[in-house]
Amino acid sequence: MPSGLILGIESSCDETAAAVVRGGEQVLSSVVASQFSAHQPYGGVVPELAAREHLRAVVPVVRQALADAKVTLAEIDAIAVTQGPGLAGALLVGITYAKALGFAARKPLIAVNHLEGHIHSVLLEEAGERGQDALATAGGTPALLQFTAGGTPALLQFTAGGTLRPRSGQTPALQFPVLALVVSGGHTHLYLCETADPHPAPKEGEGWGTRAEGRGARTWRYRNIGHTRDDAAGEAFDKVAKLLGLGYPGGPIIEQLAQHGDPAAVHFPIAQLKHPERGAKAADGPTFDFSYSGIKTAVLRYTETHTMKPGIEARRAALANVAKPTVEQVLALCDKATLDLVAGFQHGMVQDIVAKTIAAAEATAARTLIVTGGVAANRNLREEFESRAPRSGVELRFPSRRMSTDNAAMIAAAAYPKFLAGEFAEEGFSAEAGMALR
Amino acid sequence: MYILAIDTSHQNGSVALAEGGGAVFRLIGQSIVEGGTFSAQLVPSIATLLGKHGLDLSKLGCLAACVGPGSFTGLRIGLAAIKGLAEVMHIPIVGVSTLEALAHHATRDGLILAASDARRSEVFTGEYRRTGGELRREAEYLCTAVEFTARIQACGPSEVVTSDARLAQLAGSVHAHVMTFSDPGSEAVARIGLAKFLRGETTSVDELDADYLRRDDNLFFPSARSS
Repeated sequence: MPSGLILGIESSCDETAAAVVRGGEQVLSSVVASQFSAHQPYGGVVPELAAREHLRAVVPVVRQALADAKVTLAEIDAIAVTQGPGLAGALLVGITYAKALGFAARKPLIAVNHLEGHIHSVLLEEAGERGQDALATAGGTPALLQFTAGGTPALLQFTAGGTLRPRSGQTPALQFPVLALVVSGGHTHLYLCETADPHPAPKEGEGWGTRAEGRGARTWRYRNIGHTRDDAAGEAFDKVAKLLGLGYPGGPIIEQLAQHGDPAAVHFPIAQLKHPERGAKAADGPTFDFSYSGIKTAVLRYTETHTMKPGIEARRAALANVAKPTVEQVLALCDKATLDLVAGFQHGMVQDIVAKTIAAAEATAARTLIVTGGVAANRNLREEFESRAPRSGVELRFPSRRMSTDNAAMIAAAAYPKFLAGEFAEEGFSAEAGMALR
Repeated sequence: MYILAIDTSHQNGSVALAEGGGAVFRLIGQSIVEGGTFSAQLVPSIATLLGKHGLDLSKLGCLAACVGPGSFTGLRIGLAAIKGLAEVMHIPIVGVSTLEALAHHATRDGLILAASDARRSEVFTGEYRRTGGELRREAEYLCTAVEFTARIQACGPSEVVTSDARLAQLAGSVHAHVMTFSDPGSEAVARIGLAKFLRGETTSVDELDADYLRRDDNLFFPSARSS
């Protein structure tokens, strides 16, 4: 009798994560070991260092996830692991560990695309908490690194204090087609999602082909209809923070500083992409591409033409001596011109992301819009989507702010439809650093 | 007692299944895991090797892992696999140095230099004292090719052991007695692993880590990375 429990393992970038999820929705545990402090001195993720840290962290993280969920490996139905996209050396650690666990414990493996995980993260806290609720409950608290559901069978959600409470009621099932925006430090992708039966009943005259037990279970299918031509949105946040001497990572600090600046003081227009991407075929249909290297350069030019360099260098030097600067410490080192520039940059980014995504939702007649990934934790972005989506008649869904960033619960969630359909990984599968989502 | 050993530190990886205890060691079987397919084929190779000899994981008394130095990614794949197997089956682990596995092939007593290519004109070097066939580790370090030849000239080792043709030539150029052979392989790791296990030199699943023997900061700046 299947328990519906899936152990998820994620090691695609700089976070080692494991989680136990029941039925693709109920998060029994989610443990994330961040390598943040290891990479911080380098101003970005160092691939070799990330792989080393994963090897050290993977055993304790998986142990903790099982302990928090109060289950043993024997009770798990399947092990889901991120196959790609991501850093090859980092992915290999999670994949090989998952394979060995699966072989030893006689559990099937399910290979999951990291982006598919992000899209499925909205299902993790679906019932009773829509975008606004999730935003409110997550309000202000820093992301917790782990949480425990204990043996509680009810659906769970986060409250501001980091404690859990059972959810009330069920939200309606997702209405397809779904348009999903995955927006993070490594990705800015738009996917049009449908579900399909991977084992359709054979037509008359055809033989019985695929395994019968999965028939009737529907798995997700994806079509990429837009991506960034250059920098990912989160990358732009990181790069602008770096060039303004605000440290790494850029997203959270820019969001906090922007509150103190005037977003209208410095205007950054929406990036106009006039030409189709090289090699793109008209037959593929319209695409909704993004571009964020331009706005980063525009910020750089602004600092040069407004003689902001000495201030930036002074701030960089001051912060170099602080291990973990607080927002107040950074704020004290920023003048009004800097705060206005930061606010204008964030405003420009948010306007661009929202305008292009809403246009894509309208053009594709999407009934649901999912906004996920690390940048989806940005409150301004959420608020802007919340004000614009209703006008387009599209239902908006976000994961909780905690589940927006990399975690393994989303990997286990994305694996569940595959588990039901019997889509298990071949024993010879390996990492795919540039894996496409289909 | 059965022991399973993995060596994925070099281009050609391998898995060995052996049986032993006391002074007895018998290789039961070995399978090659081709370079570039470690993550895809390592665990399936282990399953096949065990199955071929009618064994399963529950029969194993020890797992021997090659901890390095060597290919960073290769080492991590081998160690991640060992960790996963040991975590579920609660099998004791021993970590074996790649350089010790090399030195194991020495034929003479005295100071043995084990050398493997570290790229960027550098050499992973292990100094072992061999007495009556027993090896004792004296030092393992990373040095430049120039330092390597200087060290040979300074200490006059009784034998230099390597599986690398270029290093063999380099050591030969300063008149060292050179012993060469193909990669150290999992059989040597199994032999050394068994001996270490019998001496009680085991390590825990979470403590097991790679010995990269290269931890300079330059490695982590993308512009300085060459490999």
